[in-house]
Amino acid sequence: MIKKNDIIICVIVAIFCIFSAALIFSLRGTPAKVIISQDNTILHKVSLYENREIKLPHNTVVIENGVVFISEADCKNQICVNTPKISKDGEQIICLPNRVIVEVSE
Amino acid sequence: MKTKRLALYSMLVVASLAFSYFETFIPTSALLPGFKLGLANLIILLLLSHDDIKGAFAVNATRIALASLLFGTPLSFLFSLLGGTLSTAIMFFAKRIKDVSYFGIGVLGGVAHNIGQLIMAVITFKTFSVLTLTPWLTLLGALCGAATGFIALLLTKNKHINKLFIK
Ligand SMILES: [Zn+2]
Repeated sequence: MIKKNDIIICVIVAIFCIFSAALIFSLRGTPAKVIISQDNTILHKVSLYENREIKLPHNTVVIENGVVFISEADCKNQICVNTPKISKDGEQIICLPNRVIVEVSE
Repeated sequence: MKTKRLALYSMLVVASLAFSYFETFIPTSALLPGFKLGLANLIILLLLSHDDIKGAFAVNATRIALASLLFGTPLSFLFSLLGGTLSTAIMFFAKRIKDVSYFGIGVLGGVAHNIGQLIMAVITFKTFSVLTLTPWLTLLGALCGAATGFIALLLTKNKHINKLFIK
């Protein structure tokens, strides 16, 4: 009925499944984080995929559906509020007057 | 082509089309996108057991074309065609391996079918991220292929069924 090479085929397929699954899990990066810092100290480190609003003394940071932006700020130039929403690794929003940096990081 | 052969192919197309139709009622796609049981593989294995590679390709292509027209989409046609053709070709070559039964051939066919679908998905969606489905589609393809292969193994031992397929 079932022959010797049938077993070998099954073993090869099983090894392929385990190997490819292991490869995929190892390649899967850690979920992206949003790092908010002021004066070079990290105030918040939160997930990019959790919707929330973080109130800082001078700025309000909003995380919404995988994008981050500053919704309100008391700075004069309002550059941080007008900066386009960020979502990719390494992107930053900077509020120079308040020395706040919002950064997306893997 | 002999009339008798033509009648056999027509019967096999109808039988495999019935398998495909039956599969549309089983929500396997909810488990994994694009995943099907591949029961029609049984018909292909029976044709290959009598070394009828041309018949296997013809019956499979006809079934896929009809199934796509009746209850599929142009895109599902391309997916099935690549998967089915790759699977038939692999099983044809697997038959030449020594010391292998229809069980092992079925496993390779099931895996080849789903690998073919994955290649089509990479082409369609223009992203390699769909390849994360590889381990699961390979495993399920192997399990379904093993099941149809085992049934084919039993059927090829039946002399009444063999009589139908003899040229
Ligand atoms: Zn500002």
